[in-house]
This record gives sequence, C-alpha cells and structure tokens, in this order.
Amino acid sequence: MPLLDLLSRKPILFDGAMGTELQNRGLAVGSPPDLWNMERPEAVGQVHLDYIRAGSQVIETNTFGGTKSRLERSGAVELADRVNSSGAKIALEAAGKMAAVVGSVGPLGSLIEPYGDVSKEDAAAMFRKQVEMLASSGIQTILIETMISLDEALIALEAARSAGASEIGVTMTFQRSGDEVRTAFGESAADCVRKLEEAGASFVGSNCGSGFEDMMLVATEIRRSTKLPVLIQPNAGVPTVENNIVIYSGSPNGFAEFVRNVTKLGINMIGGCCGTTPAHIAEAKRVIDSL
Amino acid sequence: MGIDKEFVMLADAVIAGKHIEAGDLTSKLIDESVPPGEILENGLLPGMDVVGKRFRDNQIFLPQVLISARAMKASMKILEPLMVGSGHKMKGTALLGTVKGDVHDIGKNIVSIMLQGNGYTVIDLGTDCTAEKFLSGAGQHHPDVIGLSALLTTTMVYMKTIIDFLRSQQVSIPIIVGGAPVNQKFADEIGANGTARNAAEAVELITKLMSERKEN
Repeated sequence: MPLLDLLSRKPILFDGAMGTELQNRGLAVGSPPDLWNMERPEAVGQVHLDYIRAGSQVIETNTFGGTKSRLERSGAVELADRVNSSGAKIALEAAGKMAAVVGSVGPLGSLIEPYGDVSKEDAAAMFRKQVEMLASSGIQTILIETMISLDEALIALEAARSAGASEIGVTMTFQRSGDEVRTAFGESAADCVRKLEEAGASFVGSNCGSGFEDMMLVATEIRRSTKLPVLIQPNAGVPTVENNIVIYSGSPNGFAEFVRNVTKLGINMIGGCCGTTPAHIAEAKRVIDSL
Repeated sequence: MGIDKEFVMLADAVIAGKHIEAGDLTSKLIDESVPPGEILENGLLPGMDVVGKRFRDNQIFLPQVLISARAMKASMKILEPLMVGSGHKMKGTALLGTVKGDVHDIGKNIVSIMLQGNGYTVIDLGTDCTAEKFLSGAGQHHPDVIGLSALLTTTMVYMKTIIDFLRSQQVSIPIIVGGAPVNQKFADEIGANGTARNAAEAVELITKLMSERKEN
C-alpha cells in the first residue's frame, strides 16, 4: 500500500532516530550505523520493533549511509549491496503488517561539481544503485533526507525515480539565517519545496537541524509554500557532552509539545531525527491519539 | 596598467569566483616580476577577506565560497612553488582534520581555504582522523594551532578523546574545535582553547590565539 494512502485527518507518526539509538545500544562512536545491518541485525530489528511498539506507523530502513560514496569513505564499499538489501529485510520483517517501511537515502557526503569532484552523472549513478537495491528488496517508498543542497536533492530524486521507486519523499536540513531558514547552500525553504514539487516529489519536508524551536519556523515556511504532504522530523535539540556521553536536551515532553504545535500548522507526517528515542515517539503518539 | 589596479582585479576575480581569470592575472603579475608574496598579500588576501566577511554576515553561502576558493587555489597553484625559498614569511601553520568517524569535510575545507587566504600554511589531515594521527601530524609539522572538525553530533564526542590524548602526550599547542553541532559550552566542557561559528570567525580566533602565544 502506498504510504500516502495512510494520510488522514491526524498526522502519520514516523519513527525516531536510528544512529543515536544504536549508539545507546553499544554502537561505537565513529562507526557507521549501516554496517550493523550485517554485524548486529537483531539490534537493528529491535530498534524498529521498539519504535513500532511506541506507536510508529512508519519506520525507516537503517540505510542512511548506503551509497557507495559514503561506504567508500568508511572503507566498506564492497558491502554497499548488502547494507541496503539487509537493511530492507530487517525493517520489512520487523514491520510485518504493523507498520509501513520507507527506504532511507542520505547525502553522498561529497560535494558534487562544480563545488567538488563528484560528477553529476556519478552522483546520480550512486543514488540509483542504492535505490535499485532497496527497491529489489521490496521497498517501494524512498525517503531522501538530510539534504543540504537542492542540486543534490534533485539529482537523488530523479535517480530514485529512474531506479523504479513508486513514491519518493525528500526532506532537507535548514538552518536559521536571521529571520529566514536556508540550507547551508543558501537556498530558502520555500524555493526548495517548490522546486522539489515541480520535479515530482510525492512529499517534502525537513529533518535534522537544531531542535524543536527552529523546526517550527521551518515547518511554517514549508507548509505555506507547497500543497504536497509535509513530513517534519526534528532533532531532539542541540547536543552537549556530559561525562563523555552525548546528551540531547530535547525531552520526550518537549517533543510532545512540538508535535502539538506542528500539527496545528497542518503538517501531515511527524517523526524524529538525531537524539529522539522510542520514549519521544510514545509521547508523540499520546498527543496524536488525543486529537 | 598600474600594479595596484591589477591587484584589485585579482581580488575581484577571487570574490567573483573566476578561476581562469584569477590564474591568468596571477601569471601576468609574475611576468611583470611582482614578488609572489606581494601578489598573495595585496590580491588574494583582500579578496578572500571580503568573501569571508560576506559569508559570516549571511550575504553569501557555501556555493559562492567554494567557487571563490577554487579561484584562490588556481592562483596559489602558481604562487606556491615560487614562494618556497623566496623568504616570504607565512603568518603561521594550522593543522586541521575531521575527527574519527566523520567523513564530512566541507566545514574543515572552508576553514582551510580561509586560513590560506589569510596567509597561513595549512596542513590538512583529511577526514576520519584518529588521536594518534593528530599527534604524529603535530610532531611532524610543528603547527601553531590544531583544529578539530566534526559535523555529526554522533562523532563530536571523539573531540574530547583527542584533546585528552594530545594533552597527555605533552602537546601544549592551542586546540580549537568547530562544526555544525559544536558550541562554546561544548568547547569549554571538553577543554578546547576555543571555537568559532564559521570560517571567518575561525581565522579571527586563530589570529588571536597566535598573538597571545607570541606575547607569552
């Protein structure tokens, strides 16, 4: 069933963070979370299950860094196919009939020409390859996320389409720049979602960033700039370090408050990015159930 | 045409990000026997200074900085071989690297460019750098400052490991940290000598730290 068939009066609840949640469960700082699809599949599956039990209607595969470009940088390029096929399998098994699964696709982590050395053709080929692996493993909806450049987002969107994905969402990361919200590349949120809508995205939105407060600004700007369904997934605040442990300041209660406020804007889908946990999702579910 | 006019043209080429023009103007100045150090000081540095300030003030964004950096590099490629042994004194040396587990290098690269554009020598250790790599880099290059970069909240904690390790090995050089998730509070908590919100501020911070070191 297409993800967007789930849309109703109430927002659809996505899951929370995967990377930071795996770190809470023993993934070493600096180690790519995606490799746990092969090394610790049961731990990845357990995170999915914990989110579903907390109320997630949609979970994301643990494949954020599953492009050749990123795996190359962590010396694991030969694992690209398996990262994606295993990630899809783990998520689909965990979801069963209880949740929908979307395939997570993150940025290449390298700059595309003319700003960097990766050609547009190579960038498209790397995205296409990842989406082909996810699609052939049974994933129909792709979520391209954490994009900081509209060019890269558009290349990924086109590549995902040519790889056979039937539904493609794109969420970008914005930062506050005075009264405006822009990508690191300087593109306004309004411009980004309009161009993504023109290019045929099924839904748009924003993820990551610097916490709930700034994300309200981003969500407001995006909502008034597009007719497409909007997905918003903030970080649990800006992290600090205490006793060598990264602490995210955004509590489950703070997230519940955010969900209440962002729902009033007419946001259709809500989840969490870095630092959010099953406890955050459980609080969000209570808010959504009460609507 | 006067030399001053040509310096302004070179600065403008850097600001506009015209790398072919920047290279051509540099070659022309060299042909006119202008010392490479003067071309750097009077053409490239004023140009990158404008770029840095505009970036800091949100007047321009990453793409324009990257394009200007490419223009500066086109010029530096011609100047660098000529500057070796020319007696031109650089302002100091910075050792930069992105910490272990983090493969993002956009921020570090911009700091690197801004520093070079302000007359510093930069030793770039690249991405995914361990504490040991920073130690051996410090031993080999004798930098005046060490800069650690992390874009991910998941890798920033490793900065503390590096600082603790370098201090335990008697490295007393100032260590600064930067990256999207890093703030002053975090820098203080992990014992860094400073942090900056963007590349232009990083240059100001390094200049300040170096002058303090000289005074002591």
